[in-house]
Amino acid sequence: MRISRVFAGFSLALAILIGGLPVAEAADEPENIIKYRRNVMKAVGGNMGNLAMVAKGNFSFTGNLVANARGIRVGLGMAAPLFPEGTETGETNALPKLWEDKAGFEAALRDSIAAADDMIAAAETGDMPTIIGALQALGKTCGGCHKPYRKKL
Amino acid sequence: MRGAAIALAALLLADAALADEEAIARGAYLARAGGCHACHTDHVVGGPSLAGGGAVATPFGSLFAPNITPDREHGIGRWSQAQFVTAMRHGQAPGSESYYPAFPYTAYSGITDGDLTDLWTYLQAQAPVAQPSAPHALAFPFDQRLASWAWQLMFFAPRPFLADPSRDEAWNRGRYLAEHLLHCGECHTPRNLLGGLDESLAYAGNRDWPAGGTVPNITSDKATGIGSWNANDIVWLLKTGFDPEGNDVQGSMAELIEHGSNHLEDTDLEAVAAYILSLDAIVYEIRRETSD
Repeated sequence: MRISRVFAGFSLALAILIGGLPVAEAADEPENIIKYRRNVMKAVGGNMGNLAMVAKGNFSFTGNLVANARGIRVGLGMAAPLFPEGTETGETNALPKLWEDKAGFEAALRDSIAAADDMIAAAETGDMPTIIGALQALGKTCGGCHKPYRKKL
Repeated sequence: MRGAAIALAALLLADAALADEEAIARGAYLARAGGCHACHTDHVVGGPSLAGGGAVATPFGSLFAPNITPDREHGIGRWSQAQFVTAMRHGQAPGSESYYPAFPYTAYSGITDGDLTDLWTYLQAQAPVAQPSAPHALAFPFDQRLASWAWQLMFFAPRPFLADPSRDEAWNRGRYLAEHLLHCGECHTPRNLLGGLDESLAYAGNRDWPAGGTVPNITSDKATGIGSWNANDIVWLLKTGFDPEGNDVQGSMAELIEHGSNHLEDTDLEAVAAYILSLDAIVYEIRRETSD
């Protein structure tokens, strides 16, 4: 038991070293992986929505802006391994092109993650024009994945 | 005496040049509002500005927005201003050809004389690009120009802008922009089988968009439209491409935002919002897949 745990820990560490967390094990049903990643994207969208509510003047409380920005960064950071082979069919709006062009997808995702890091820095300044600028820049990167790799909704 | 005449002539010339510069600047703004760049520039390949766009999907095949730079061979360099006005108001190309209604002349027909002059001045001032326009790829019988002539006969009458004196100036400005320049109804109003707008469902959305996906209901119905949005939400969407839930808009609307509405003044976007928010609620459900 103990040995297998050590082994599991070791293989996890190895997996992280060679290519990200093995979050989507073969054991997981594709439909559950899809549900899980949809929830991740919804969380990113929710945080975007609330940042925008403050930026456009529909909500006055600014105390959560940094947390919202971090939430976006965290969600985007989860995304890459949530698109394993076998999850291209079913209740997904992702297009087969995502799997044919994994490198392009991951590069576009990295752009979004970099913009989310900038969003955190902007939120920390507390300066609204800076925040709006970073939010618009971050927003532009969404299309990097959504345009080529997502169905038209 | 002679010196004074020369000075006066120089002054008049400078004046004319300045007036022209101002007209070009106004025209540039109107071109953004009208979405000219969104269709007439091929953004996918990073093509030259206004020298012809990518494919526009229709139920009848693909159309390509032509080169509208002043190139004499491939653009509109040989046109007169009167021919430009006829194209914008009546959907007629120089000669006797009718345009397909993917070119939203139905909406543009209400653009004022002054604004058309500014648009013309702006277009004439652009760098000519010697790039041939892509031929349309339509299925028979829609590839016959007679088809667009018949379409005009059935569905088109020039629609001049009518101000409503019972509403304030901002609302009227919003109506002018939304109905005629931004041509919102061209996509947000559903079409019949022959591509005519179904005005009984004005702005209630499109369930089956030829390029894929749907176009949302933007009337003020709470359940199926955008009745829960306020003016800030509409302005924000037209500037950034994000809806109140934090979803990013994609497809042709994203292009219209990036190359069009995003360049407009806040006061104009607020006017558009005031007009859109005043639309009567129409219960018409557009099923949109959720984001992933």
